[in-house]
Amino acid sequence: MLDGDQGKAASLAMCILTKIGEIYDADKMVEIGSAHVLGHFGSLHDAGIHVLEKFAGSNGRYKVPTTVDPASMDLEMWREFKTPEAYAEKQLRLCRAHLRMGVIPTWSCTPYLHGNLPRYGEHISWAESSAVVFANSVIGSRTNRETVGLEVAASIAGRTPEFGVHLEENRRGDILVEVKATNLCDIDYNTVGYLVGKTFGNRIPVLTGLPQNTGIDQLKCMGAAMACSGAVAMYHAVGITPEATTLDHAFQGDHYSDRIEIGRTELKNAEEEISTVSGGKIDLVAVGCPHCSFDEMRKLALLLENRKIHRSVEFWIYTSKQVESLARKTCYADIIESSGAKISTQTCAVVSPINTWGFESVMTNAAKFAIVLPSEHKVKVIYKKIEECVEAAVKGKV
Amino acid sequence: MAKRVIVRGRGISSGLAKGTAIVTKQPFMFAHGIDVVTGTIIDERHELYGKSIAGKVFVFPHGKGSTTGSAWILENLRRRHGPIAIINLNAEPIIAAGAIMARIFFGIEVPIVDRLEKNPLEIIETGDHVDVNGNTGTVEIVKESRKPFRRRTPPIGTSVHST
Repeated sequence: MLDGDQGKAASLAMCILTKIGEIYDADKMVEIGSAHVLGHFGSLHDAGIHVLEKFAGSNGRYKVPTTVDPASMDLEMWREFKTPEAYAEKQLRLCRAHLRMGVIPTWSCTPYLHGNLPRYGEHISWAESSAVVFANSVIGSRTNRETVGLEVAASIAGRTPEFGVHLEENRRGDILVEVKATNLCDIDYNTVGYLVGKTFGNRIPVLTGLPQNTGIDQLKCMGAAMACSGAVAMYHAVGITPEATTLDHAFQGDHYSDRIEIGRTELKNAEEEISTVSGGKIDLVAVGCPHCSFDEMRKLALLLENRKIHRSVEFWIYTSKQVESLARKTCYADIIESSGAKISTQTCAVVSPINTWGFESVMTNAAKFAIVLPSEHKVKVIYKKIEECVEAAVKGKV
Repeated sequence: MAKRVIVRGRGISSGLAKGTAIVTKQPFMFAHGIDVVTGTIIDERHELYGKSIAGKVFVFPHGKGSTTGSAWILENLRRRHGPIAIINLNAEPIIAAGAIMARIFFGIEVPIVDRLEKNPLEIIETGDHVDVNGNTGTVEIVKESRKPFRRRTPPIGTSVHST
């Protein structure tokens, strides 16, 4: 493949993968079952367009099922969301390059909810740090935190160098996180993730104390926060995730090198620490990081039913096109929009130029939004649970 | 008299570059951490905030942050306002992929060397002249010997301000 017998794109892809494999002492390449690639102009820049167009132009085709992360704008209502014309044109070039190579146009950070569901133990090549954590931890498939270019190369070649968490021994838990707080609500999972990532960077935490009824949405949010405040590629939750049936299983029979306890006090302090201001007027409430599932949309609709969002506040819910279309088949989209809230699909506040709105303060229930938005868009952030976000949106302030 | 030190490491990305070092002991985040157009560091939480890495030999422990990092490096290099060489304790895929793609797609060579036999964060200081050989993994550090500071007795009648 490297010598071009399978075309120029495959040869380019193998050139990148081989070099990375050499650097990380990979013994071999492993075949992958799926890929998840990045496609937002906000981070890919002109250089990313060049790379993708080069691959697409030399007949690059995704060899394995390949989904794509959110775009840097709502792909249908980008004008309504004040996306500059020139910016939109660049995003659309990226979209065309991906489509030409055969991407499944999901434009969502939750590929596992949209048809890209790898099996346990399967090697995959995924970018999007929150999806990587989910795939490794909750599903038990195997991917490193692939960076821009590598995921595309891997999907074109259908393989990736075997190093990092592709190898069994590198999936061993390293630190023990004892969650002592009880009655965890949705935001607490975000905050636990934030604390773990912040404290332990890129190591592999093993969590105990999470309730048996912990759901997929909660695990999704916890992993997203971990991957963002640290560089966590996977976690284990004893009795909940597949490579952690017992504590011993998660640590592969070895000892942990460090431990922390997370009680109600730690959660409360962290919640305050994540916010950059404690109150005041708010301009935007942003929810859906990672993208809302149908169930999260349903819960939002119940909270927003018969409420009116304050006229000075925007309330945006980020989700995929698929979840939105399900919401439209039910009463939930209507309820949400009657309150004045908007459903924005195929994008999110992290990757789109929301600064064209001139927002000064943003409120959110998602730790990842709260961590990234202040530096990305120079806004103040208030991080509170969803019920409080809705109350504040109705009043216009906290 | 300049003092020369030669240390060996591992060449991650090939190429030759000579220039002035900018050094930090903090891990560095390219994604959202750098103005790709100018090479200025825009991460307010980083100690090099406001400084530029354009045209410098950038010495830092390792990368961190979003998986989009390689695209930020690539754009910064494409605009010719990136570092001319990188020295890491341990390079990781984000940094390595950025440099590899810069060579493949834009013909820009940015040598990267890591795993030096001596800790580069201790032996290289900002302002040192550094010669990086990514082909052999060799780094040569030239330290200009500074003239000893002589305290001058101020003329009588002038006040001395502490600065």
